[in-house]
Amino acid sequence: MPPSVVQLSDVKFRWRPENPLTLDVPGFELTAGECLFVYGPSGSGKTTLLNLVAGVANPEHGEVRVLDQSLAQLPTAHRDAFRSDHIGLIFQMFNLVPYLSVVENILLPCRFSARRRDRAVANDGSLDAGASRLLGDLELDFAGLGSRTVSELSVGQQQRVAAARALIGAPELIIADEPTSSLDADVQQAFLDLLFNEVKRTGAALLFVSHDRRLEPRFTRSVSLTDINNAVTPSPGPQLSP
Amino acid sequence: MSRAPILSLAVKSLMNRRLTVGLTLFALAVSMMLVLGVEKVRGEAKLSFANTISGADLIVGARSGSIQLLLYSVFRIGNATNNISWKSYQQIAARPGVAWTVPMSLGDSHRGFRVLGTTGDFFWHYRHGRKRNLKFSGGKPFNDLFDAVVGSDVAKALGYNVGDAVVVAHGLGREGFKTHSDKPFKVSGVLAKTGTPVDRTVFVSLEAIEAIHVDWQSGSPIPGMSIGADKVRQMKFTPKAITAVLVGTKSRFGAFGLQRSINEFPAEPLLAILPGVALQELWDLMGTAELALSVISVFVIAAGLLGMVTMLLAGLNERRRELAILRSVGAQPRHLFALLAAEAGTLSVAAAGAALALLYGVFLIAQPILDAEFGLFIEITSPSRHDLTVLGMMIVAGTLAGFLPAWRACRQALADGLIVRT
Repeated sequence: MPPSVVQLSDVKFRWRPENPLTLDVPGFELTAGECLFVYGPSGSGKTTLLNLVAGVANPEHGEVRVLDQSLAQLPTAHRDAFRSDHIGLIFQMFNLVPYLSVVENILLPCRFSARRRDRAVANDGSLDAGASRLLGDLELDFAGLGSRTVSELSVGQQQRVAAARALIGAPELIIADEPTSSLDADVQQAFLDLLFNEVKRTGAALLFVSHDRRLEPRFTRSVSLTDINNAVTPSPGPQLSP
Repeated sequence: MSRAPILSLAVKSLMNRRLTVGLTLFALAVSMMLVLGVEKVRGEAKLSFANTISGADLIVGARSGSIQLLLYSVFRIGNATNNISWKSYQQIAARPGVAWTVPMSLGDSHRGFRVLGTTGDFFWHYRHGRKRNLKFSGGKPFNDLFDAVVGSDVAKALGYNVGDAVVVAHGLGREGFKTHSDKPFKVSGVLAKTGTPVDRTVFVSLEAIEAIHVDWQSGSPIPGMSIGADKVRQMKFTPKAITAVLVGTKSRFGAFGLQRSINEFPAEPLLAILPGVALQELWDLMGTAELALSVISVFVIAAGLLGMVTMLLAGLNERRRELAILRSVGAQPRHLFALLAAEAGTLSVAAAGAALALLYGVFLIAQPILDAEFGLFIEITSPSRHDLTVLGMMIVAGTLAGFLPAWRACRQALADGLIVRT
């Protein structure tokens, strides 16, 4: 059995004390090397789940463990450091810092995590070589794009740069939040191919969140948030106000 | 995780917002320049004032107060209570430690400007500012008995040029006094602007003062006894009394001994003052004006910093996504704090540099104008320790002011989490 990368046990969360529970997950697990597809309509708690796993939000009950580390036991600053060491994040869009070049964006995690920097150097020889290899693997041209500002890139190119940034320094967990929603269908497939290849190469676990179930067959396993989250009513429809 | 990556992020982030950052930088630089400029001009004005008369080691007059003696002998404000007899003057001039003396006789005026009777040595020994000599913008010192030299303000106000006639009035009133119209003077020279009371003075020879009063007694002409100018020219005049004396000593230390002995002068009660000390006392009387300038400086810099803080705070809202991205790649709240503080610090340092450049630019342009119009000579030197201290304090204040937006950025980032859906 491969080691556990993400483990939620009896996790309850609400954004404000007066609000109802947003998330109530009795159990959830992601193991190393796994590519997990988590789907659910908007409002099913996807963002909340990501914030909990990334250690940005704390559950009011239960425990979130990442790489066998209980996040609640870490002080905020240490959680931030833990995240930069072990987790790569890709968002739906606007992932990049506009005033940095493509390479500077890719290498951002190495500014904050010595571990990722060291691993990138160990893997590829130097940071620039690491960025260059990732851009090449993602079918972007390092020489042509590396020093460009990100505003000159297409959305598809931006998402691939964001993926390269999440992958640099080989973190154990890649979290992707609807990374393909702003892409055209054929670009979506290409993006997923590249993402899977890289994840497989580093042996990372991929937590992929989307509402688009057409992508589901390509993953090793899939989970419906409405099934595991007791805080939402399974049937979609207008919610009753109390 | 060194600080340098944060600093380079800060610089790049600022560069990305060139327009607003540039304008803020300019505003901050102007306010810093104003503070430095005010400090510089204040220092130079003080120096210039303290050196209103820097050539003489002692000023001697009849016994009164030191400020009073300074006011009437140098600033031509108020009147002498008493005179010095010519005999006492000669005894002082003959003292072994005395290098030179310049007698001064006051009491007459010309259209509101004081007339000073003195010797040609005045133009040679008088120094102002940084040991600067008097310069003639036209003509030369008086030579004839009825020659007059006018200060630059006098020449400007009355439109005098070399060769014009001047009629001296008896006493100090502007109009309606008896005039010495039978003995008109001719302008032999016009002095360049000094920024000292010299500018507002009409200079004639000591003998001339005696000569125009030769047919006067007790402040009015003796009836029926009018002696013409040509006739007066034949006569020889020795003043009976003078108002004050400028004394130069052979050594600086000699001045103290001489001062003491003149203050204990047996023949008549005299007072000798060190002009630098008395000028300093007088400047200190105006301490409130200096304080007001300092207070204004503080407000000017506060306004500049407020502008910068406003810009940074206003920018935070549109940078929410940027800050969330930085957090998602591992920036901790303290990094975001450092980023905003570094932006404020970078802006402050850049503004300080720009302020220095602006300051020297302004001084290069203003120096000749200030000198010609106000007699205030601003010496352009490399920034003094004081300037650098003031700049350093402003940079520290700017960085500290950045702590407010920095703190807000942390709060905002923690509240926003990693995903900003806007």
